Amino acid sequence: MEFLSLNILIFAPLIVAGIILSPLFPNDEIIVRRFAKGFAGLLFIYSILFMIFFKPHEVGYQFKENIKLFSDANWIEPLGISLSFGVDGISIILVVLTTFLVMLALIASKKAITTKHKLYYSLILVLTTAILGMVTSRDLFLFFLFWELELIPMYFLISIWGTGKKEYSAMKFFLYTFFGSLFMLAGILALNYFHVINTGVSTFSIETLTYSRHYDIPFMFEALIFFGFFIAFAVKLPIVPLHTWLPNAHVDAPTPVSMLLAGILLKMGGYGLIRFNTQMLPEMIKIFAPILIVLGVINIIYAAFVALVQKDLKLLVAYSSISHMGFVLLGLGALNVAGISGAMFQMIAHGLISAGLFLVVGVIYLRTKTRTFSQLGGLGQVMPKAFYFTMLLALASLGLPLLIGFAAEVMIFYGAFTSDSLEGFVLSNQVMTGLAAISIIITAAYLLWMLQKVFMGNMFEKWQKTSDLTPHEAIALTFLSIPIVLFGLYPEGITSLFLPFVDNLVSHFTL
Amino acid sequence: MEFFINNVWVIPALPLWGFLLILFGRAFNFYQNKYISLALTVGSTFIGFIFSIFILLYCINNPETNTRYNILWLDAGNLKFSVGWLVDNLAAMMLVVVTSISLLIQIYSHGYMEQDKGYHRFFAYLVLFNFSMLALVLSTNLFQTYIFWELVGVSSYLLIGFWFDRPSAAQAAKKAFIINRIGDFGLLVGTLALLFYSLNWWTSTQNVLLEFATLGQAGSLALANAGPVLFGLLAIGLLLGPIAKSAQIPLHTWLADAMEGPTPISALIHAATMVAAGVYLIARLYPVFELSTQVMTIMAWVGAITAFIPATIAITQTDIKKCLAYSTCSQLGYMVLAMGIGAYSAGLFHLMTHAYFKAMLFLCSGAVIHSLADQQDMRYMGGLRKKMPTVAYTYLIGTLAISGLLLSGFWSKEAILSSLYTQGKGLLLVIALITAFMTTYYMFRSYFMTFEGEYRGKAHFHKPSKVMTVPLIVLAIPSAIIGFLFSGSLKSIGIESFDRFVFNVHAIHGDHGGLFLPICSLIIALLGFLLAGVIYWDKLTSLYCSCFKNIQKQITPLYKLSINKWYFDDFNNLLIKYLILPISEFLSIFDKYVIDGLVNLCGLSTLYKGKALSLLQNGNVQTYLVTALLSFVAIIMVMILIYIV
Repeated sequence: MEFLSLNILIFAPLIVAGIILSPLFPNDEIIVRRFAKGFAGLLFIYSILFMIFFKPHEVGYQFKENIKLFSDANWIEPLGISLSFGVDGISIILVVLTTFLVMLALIASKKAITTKHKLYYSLILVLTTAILGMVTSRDLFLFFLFWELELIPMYFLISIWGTGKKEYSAMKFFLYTFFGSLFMLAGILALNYFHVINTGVSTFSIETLTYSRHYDIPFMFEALIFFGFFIAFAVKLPIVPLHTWLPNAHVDAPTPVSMLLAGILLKMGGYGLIRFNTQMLPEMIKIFAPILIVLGVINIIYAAFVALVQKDLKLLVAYSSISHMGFVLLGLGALNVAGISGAMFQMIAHGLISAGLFLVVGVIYLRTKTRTFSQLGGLGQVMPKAFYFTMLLALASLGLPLLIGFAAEVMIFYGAFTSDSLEGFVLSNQVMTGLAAISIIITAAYLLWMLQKVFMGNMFEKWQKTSDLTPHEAIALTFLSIPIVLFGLYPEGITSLFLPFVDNLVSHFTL
Repeated sequence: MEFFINNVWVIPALPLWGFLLILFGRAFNFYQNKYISLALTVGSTFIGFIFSIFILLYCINNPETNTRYNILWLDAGNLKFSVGWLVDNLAAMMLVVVTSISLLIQIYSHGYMEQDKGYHRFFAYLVLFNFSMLALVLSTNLFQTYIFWELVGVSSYLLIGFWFDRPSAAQAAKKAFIINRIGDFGLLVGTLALLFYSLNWWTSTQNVLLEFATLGQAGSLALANAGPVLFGLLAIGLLLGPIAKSAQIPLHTWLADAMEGPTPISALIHAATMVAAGVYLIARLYPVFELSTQVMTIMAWVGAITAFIPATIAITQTDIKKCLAYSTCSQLGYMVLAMGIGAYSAGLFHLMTHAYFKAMLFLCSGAVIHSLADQQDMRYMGGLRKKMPTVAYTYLIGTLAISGLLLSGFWSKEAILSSLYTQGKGLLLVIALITAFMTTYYMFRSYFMTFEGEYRGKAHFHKPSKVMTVPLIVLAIPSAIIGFLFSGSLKSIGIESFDRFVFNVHAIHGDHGGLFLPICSLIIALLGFLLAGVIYWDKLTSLYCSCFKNIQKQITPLYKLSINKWYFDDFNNLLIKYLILPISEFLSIFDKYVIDGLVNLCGLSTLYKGKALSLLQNGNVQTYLVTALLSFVAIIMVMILIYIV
């Protein structure tokens, strides 16, 4: 497939961002938005082609690229750093999710963004490049660069177009992630260091470090490397108690940015945990799986309880995000095919559902200028379309069968319940899974309470004239609903992409 | 006939198509005509009904029918969940019950909902429910049951909250869903545990995971692996699902509140079909439950208590729908009780007869409510027999049936009572008989208050339309005769008794205890009728002597207990208000001030240190980068130093 080049996929958004930002480009909101939106649509279609031509049963990366800038050598040859990209089972699906959600976020930007359009749309596209680069890089150092690159547009997107204490939230988001990434960098360099002293060659190649690492790293250091990665991803996922940046960032970010933050950026945590902590350090994950499970259960239950008493609509959705990301941890900690596939599936499911929920919150906020539950009520009478979409999203979020959230939960619960990764630990896998399952009650409670408070019951006089969804919002929500229903009915559409990868992954640590 | 068995998937598939057609037809405004929604709904159910009838006939002729078809739905590692369809006698019986009642109620709903602005939405939800319920009935395995178990729950949520602008309806819908979720939690954990303890067996035999047909073997293996205690817990978890869905104590409180939904919904979902799904699931899981006698005992007692307590509550209800709702609860208790003592077929028999007569009773109450402009309080009714004789007489048939006065309810209740008798469960039998007495009392009380005497209300009366009364008449026929039909008395003309039809090798069968018990229960029912008549029927109130008045005063505490529904709701509210919410509040505050507080504290101290570097503006990001990088290099240095040393 000559025309399918990851380079184009990754760097085209960056180039388009440059075009938009250039002074030659007209400073007209409509032109800028349509241009960016159209480009995002093309990018999405292009990424779909990758998925179509992707061969799930091949192990390892596909569509490999290695950009050689000036000579035949790698990018930074002496250190073994290369500009190499590729996709495999778990990254292809995240690539498509990214382009899909970026497209929808741009559609949803119409009324949410009112100033500095050129900068806004180019920053979103820079963010796209960063995320796509992150999930496709085959080089640890490159991964780290993209990881850091993503912070900059995100910081400005929150602090310029946000609401409330936006500078504080943006800074908190920045510092938190940065704090985590330092540990990761230490881990990356340590991996490189041990490769150098064992083989005499410096490399950052993920493939080499994953598949052809035939030497042992001293236990102490391997554990430290594991924790370096783990802390970076724990901040991103987020794992309690490193989660407090998330409610702030979500509440103060503009709607489309919240969609991207919840929809994709949190998934980078899960992706990293699978790619590095699990795939690269299988010995360690076997030892530390109990920690993952315990933290996962805490995440699920703790955040669900906290969500139960939130007085702000967006905070409720934010805490529900934290709770749902706990499932990713629980699934990973199971260390079996069902659990890890479930974790992967949950990332996709949550990406779609939470993006939708944040969009709905934005829709309501745009009209009522409030997110406080006590001020809302009975909106279903004037916004029936918004009501039905929210209902669908809420039901998907609480794991209603035949919607996308259910398949993920089933796989995770099954995986965690039948796993023996907690052998020798005080609480068995079964007890922990049982505890996590309590969340299906609490999740239903807070989501249905939210529906009741916002859309049902008596309506305040002042919302009498609230308008229903605009075509833009309706289209974005419809686009989101399609995969939510489709892959809920037919989960294999997604699982078939990464199952061979997961099978291969699991076979490595059952040996 | 084979054709119908092989194409049984049509039965749930048609309502699903109907749902999608209504959904998209209305979403894009392709049509306005109400009759299109109606036709899609009724048409799909009617074809399903024809299929079900032929399937039932086939099953009667071939009692060993067990046709299964499975499609792999979810496949990850050793997790292989399938969905499909299973036709056996039990499923055939349920199919007929569900489609026939659905069909009549859908026709009735047209009359009931004609003026409502949510007409199309109502039928869309209705047909969605139909799909989920039929697919639940046809489930081949426990996992599929769980899927549709939740889907009927959500249909019920949507329909209870149909008039979502009413705060009480919104509240009731949420409550129903959450309480059912507690049951789902138990069911989920129970299912997982069952699967876990028998996993090797499933994987080695290549059977479809959790298929009902092989559940017995897997269950005994699970018992061997888990030991009796864990297995008991597992079975109780599984039982929790039916307890919530069939409104058994202590998870019964949602059913009375669910009456906030339109009355046809109360008839269909909250009386005839969905709530009976709990009993149906118990029947399907019977091979697992009966492995643990303790769990069977618990089941029997849950059933008995549920038969008893709601009956005592129904006695004092003045809202006609609430009265019927508690009556439903109580009758469901009978079914679970029957299941618990091993009277498998008696429980299912009662499920079937109850579905018909209770659906009819609800539809009658709906006709009354509709005619009196949404008046539900029986204190403002009375004398309606002269105004709407059809409704009154069908209601009377239903009342006689549920009271066990020789119509269908007599035969099924009799089967339960005689099983209790032959097994020597004295205490349970006494409870069941007392409940039978109360049942007759409160049902005749409601009949007298509604249809006899003088009209006490103010609402303007308008006659129910034909579209509402005809289904009542049609339903009256099975309500009256179905019990006798399947009682085994008609063996000579080829109609087998019900217990032979759904015969289950695991069920315990006792001989009938002669004529003593039937006569006893008839007398008890007559006493109940007499008491209700003496108090509430103007033709008998001359017997109402002062002693009754005194009695009423003496039983004030009991009366209070009944009118306050045994304080279950208050207890739940206290639990939520003083336990769940405080925990949540605590965690929320902890999150905000402790975890985040610590973080901010760290941040602040950094800021203070950084004052000299003037870190307070936006530009401080770069500075942070530098400091962070420096500190990071330091970490690396330390690491390498440690390693070298």
